[in-house]
Amino acid sequence: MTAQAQDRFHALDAALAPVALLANVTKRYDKTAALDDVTLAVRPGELLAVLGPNGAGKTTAIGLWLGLTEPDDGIVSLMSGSPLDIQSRLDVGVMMQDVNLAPELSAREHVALTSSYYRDPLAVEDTIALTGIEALAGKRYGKLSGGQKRQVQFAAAVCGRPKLLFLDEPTVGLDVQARETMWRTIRRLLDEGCSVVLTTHYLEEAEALADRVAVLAKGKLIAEGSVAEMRSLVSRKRISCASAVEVDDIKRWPGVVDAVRQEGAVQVTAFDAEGVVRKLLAADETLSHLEVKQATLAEAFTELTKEAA
Amino acid sequence: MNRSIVRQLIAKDLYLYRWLIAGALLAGLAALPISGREGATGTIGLILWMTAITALGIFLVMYGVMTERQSKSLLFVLSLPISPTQYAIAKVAASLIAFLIPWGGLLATIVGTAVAFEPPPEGHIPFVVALMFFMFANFAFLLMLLLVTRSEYWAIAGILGTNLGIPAYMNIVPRLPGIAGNSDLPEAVWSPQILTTIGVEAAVVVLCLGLALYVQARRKDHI
Repeated sequence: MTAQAQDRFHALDAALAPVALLANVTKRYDKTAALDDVTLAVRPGELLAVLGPNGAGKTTAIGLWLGLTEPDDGIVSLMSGSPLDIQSRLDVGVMMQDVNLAPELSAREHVALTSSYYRDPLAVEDTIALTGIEALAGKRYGKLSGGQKRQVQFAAAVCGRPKLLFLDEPTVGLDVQARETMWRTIRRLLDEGCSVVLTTHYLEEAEALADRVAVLAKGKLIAEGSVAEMRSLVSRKRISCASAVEVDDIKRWPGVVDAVRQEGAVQVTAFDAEGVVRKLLAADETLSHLEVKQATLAEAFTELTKEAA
Repeated sequence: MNRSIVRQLIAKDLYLYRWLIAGALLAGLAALPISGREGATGTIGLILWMTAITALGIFLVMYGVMTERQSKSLLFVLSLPISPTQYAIAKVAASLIAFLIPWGGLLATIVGTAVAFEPPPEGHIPFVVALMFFMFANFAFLLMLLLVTRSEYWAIAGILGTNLGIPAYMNIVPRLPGIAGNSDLPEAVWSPQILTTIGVEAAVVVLCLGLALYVQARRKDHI
């Protein structure tokens, strides 16, 4: 290989290298494994949604990536370096769960203070405009509502022009407008090449924003893939139609999980969607408005975590 | 080590502590003339003066260390490009500065007032200096205790212990040989016993602050 080709290979390798990596990581608290042999990588420019019920290990994973705790086993890397290295964290923005900042400082002062720790931050007013907190900027943090505090924390997370952004339950307590603004900013950062790790309990949020989803349960990685791949992991489908067939009869058919009548339409959840559709058509010649949908991410998540429990 | 980050962290803490510093200094200064009076009024003034310094120390460690940890703002700070060592140095330095401004101001006022008096009632100065160092050592001990143990229970135990230590100190130390009776003299007597007492207190301060820095800077788990 020529030197030029080698340079190109190394450049390509660096571009594809994960910006954050947990490799066979185990972390225990006393005898409980918060993470058990988990391997998880965040690729450049992607949004990875980390889902899981409470106590699944999501916050521990983020804590490991940020160097707030060390693994008992395995390797953790951040921006191709150690999470304990300040250089690695210069390109990282963080919005953590349940954090309270100094109540005496204004939102603008918090953004300015956080910006001062980074080498090439956005101008304070640019951060305020980007995150849509103009109306909050002069107010004391302690006087803000829970949702408004989250917006200020988000501004503090993005002020350092991060290449990797950790968002731990970012939209909890936000009104619809504030959530839309936050989603728009996240999409803009992704367009600019930023990678994002998002933990959320709002599965529609993961569905709307994520390139990839990782599901943790009881400290283990139980599934990983694109939103479509995750949904396809779950074999159940939703059938909707206008039909005179009684739902109590449908419930007794093989492969049917549930059947209800909502606003005149029959809604059936089934493992064997094709078989159920054939039976419906045979039972009711007047059947109309037939729709078959794959499981939502929420349904996939529920089924996957139920299996892991 | 990026010194500007440490300076910014110190400046942030001092900004947050500014009213606490001013309040303790003003309360202490207001109590000083009262403590110079005879009888019960003087005792009340003395208690107010010591309370101003003691309460400052307690507030600084509870607000600056314990609340910062409980509100998880410590996690936020440590997730920024700030190392545990930088945080530890900044926290200890900011707490020290915030304590030493009123402490130093009050000590200087007491000594200055005593020296300026004619005839000079300077005999009590060595004991007051020793008492001030004892309260400084109490503060350093509390700061170390909270930074090292991170425990609310230890904090309460520490506060109770150091507070109970002050009346005990005031009962025991003035009766020690080489110190007893010196407070009534017109001139300050810096006996070996009082200098040893101050030296031990200063050593406790250095030891506590060193231990706090050492443990906090090497801590691996902040969650």
